[in-house]
Amino acid sequence: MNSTLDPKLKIENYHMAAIRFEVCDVPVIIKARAPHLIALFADYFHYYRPQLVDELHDHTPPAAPPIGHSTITVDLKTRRHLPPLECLIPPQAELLSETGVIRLWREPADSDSGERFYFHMGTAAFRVDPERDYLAGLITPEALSLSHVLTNTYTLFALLLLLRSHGLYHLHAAAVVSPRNQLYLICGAPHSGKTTLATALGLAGWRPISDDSLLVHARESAAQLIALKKSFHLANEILDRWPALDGITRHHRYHHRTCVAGLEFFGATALAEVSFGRVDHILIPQITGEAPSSLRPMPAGEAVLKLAEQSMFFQLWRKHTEQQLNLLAQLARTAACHRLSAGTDILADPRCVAEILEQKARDHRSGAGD
Amino acid sequence: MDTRSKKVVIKEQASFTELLDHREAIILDLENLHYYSLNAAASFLWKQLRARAVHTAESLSAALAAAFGINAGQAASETHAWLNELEQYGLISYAALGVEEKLANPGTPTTEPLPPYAPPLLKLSNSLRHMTLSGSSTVSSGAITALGGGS
Repeated sequence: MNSTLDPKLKIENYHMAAIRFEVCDVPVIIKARAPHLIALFADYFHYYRPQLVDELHDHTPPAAPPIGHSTITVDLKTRRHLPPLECLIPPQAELLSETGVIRLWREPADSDSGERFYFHMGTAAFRVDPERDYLAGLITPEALSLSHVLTNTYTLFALLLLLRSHGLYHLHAAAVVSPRNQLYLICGAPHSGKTTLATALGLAGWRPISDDSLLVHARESAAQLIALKKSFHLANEILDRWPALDGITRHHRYHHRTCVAGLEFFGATALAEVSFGRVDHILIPQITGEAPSSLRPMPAGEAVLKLAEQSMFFQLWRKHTEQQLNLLAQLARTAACHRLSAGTDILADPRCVAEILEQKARDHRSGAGD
Repeated sequence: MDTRSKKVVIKEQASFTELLDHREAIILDLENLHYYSLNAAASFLWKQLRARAVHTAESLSAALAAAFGINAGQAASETHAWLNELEQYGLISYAALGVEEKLANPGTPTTEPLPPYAPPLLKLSNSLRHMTLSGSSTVSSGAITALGGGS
């Protein structure tokens, strides 16, 4: 039994609820015994139009069986406390990465099982089994109390690792379509201004399709880029400062940010479904704290390096590393690459970003640019 | 070691990508994730090496001189300096020339327009050795070499 999702009304009726959706043709099922957990993820992935299924009673195959990709299963369980670390992480696993509270280990394949990865975030833990397309998660009430971090960081990271094994590569970048239908990538580290710039361009009539996450993949060897569809996460300071955003639908606040319905507000919901085969401009932003914003050209090789630096798990699995670099290079080949020094003039007038970019495009067309 | 009469062999794990035709390219060393940016002359030389023709330092510098129209002395010294740098980074090694192997003929310069000559340049970045989780992460860099297998 598949049903159109209406989590508030129906999830409580399910013994073991699950949602099913596809990310770029890769089928994903998220299942849990806790209905509120399913409701939470159904809301987070709502742009992917998840279908609610009853895992215990639904044995009917999907109407259109997936071709080419096996289904990723995300199996979530709630626990009052996480077991001790040594019960979760095998002794042979090697610590790969530590970012704040997030730690990632890798356990090499052996005769019994394939390679496995373990995430531990203090309040939640995940085991990722790429060979089986399986992700098991333990969620504590503490993790649920920061539901946005649980969905958008903890669980998403683990899911992105599995998507990588399907050739879907994460890129930490915003993407905006200009009035001349040119695609601009804004790629940078956290707090480099991606969301603010994408929003500023949206206020100037451009269409932002993502404020911080994209997926890169190959279609018959050609690079394709598509938004990882989710709410925008705007700084509260920007919401307070720019009255033109007053009508934007706000969901919830966390830390200093608010989740907002950016795609709807900027009329970019349909564009966010589009897979782009070409990037026209790559911007690497840097917040300067000085008044005037400016653009200066940067070599394509430096731009590709920045894209690779902002690609999660870029180092993982060399065949994918090589393919991903090749795809990023393909995208950069068609693009004009610039470093954008984002100044305080943008805070005063968000539309000035569009003016700077349009002037540069005019200069380029007239041959006066770089 | 006198490398002038030796064959130049490029590292198998060096993945080369041209970004702007005859102007700019990159190499990613898939063994250690060192990332290199190459200018036009460096890109030209690497493509010569990649073309699977047998090359010594001499044949490479002759090809460089012919392509960019520079004098032989300058081409030789700058090609040698660049090859030394590549060797230090482990991107090339030298092997003895086989009896049957013939040196590549530098031939006629490419018909594609080349930019004005600047000495071959290789710029290294180590930043990809660090695994990025949400853009800012520390990593046990020794573990990076373990990440090559799997899916």
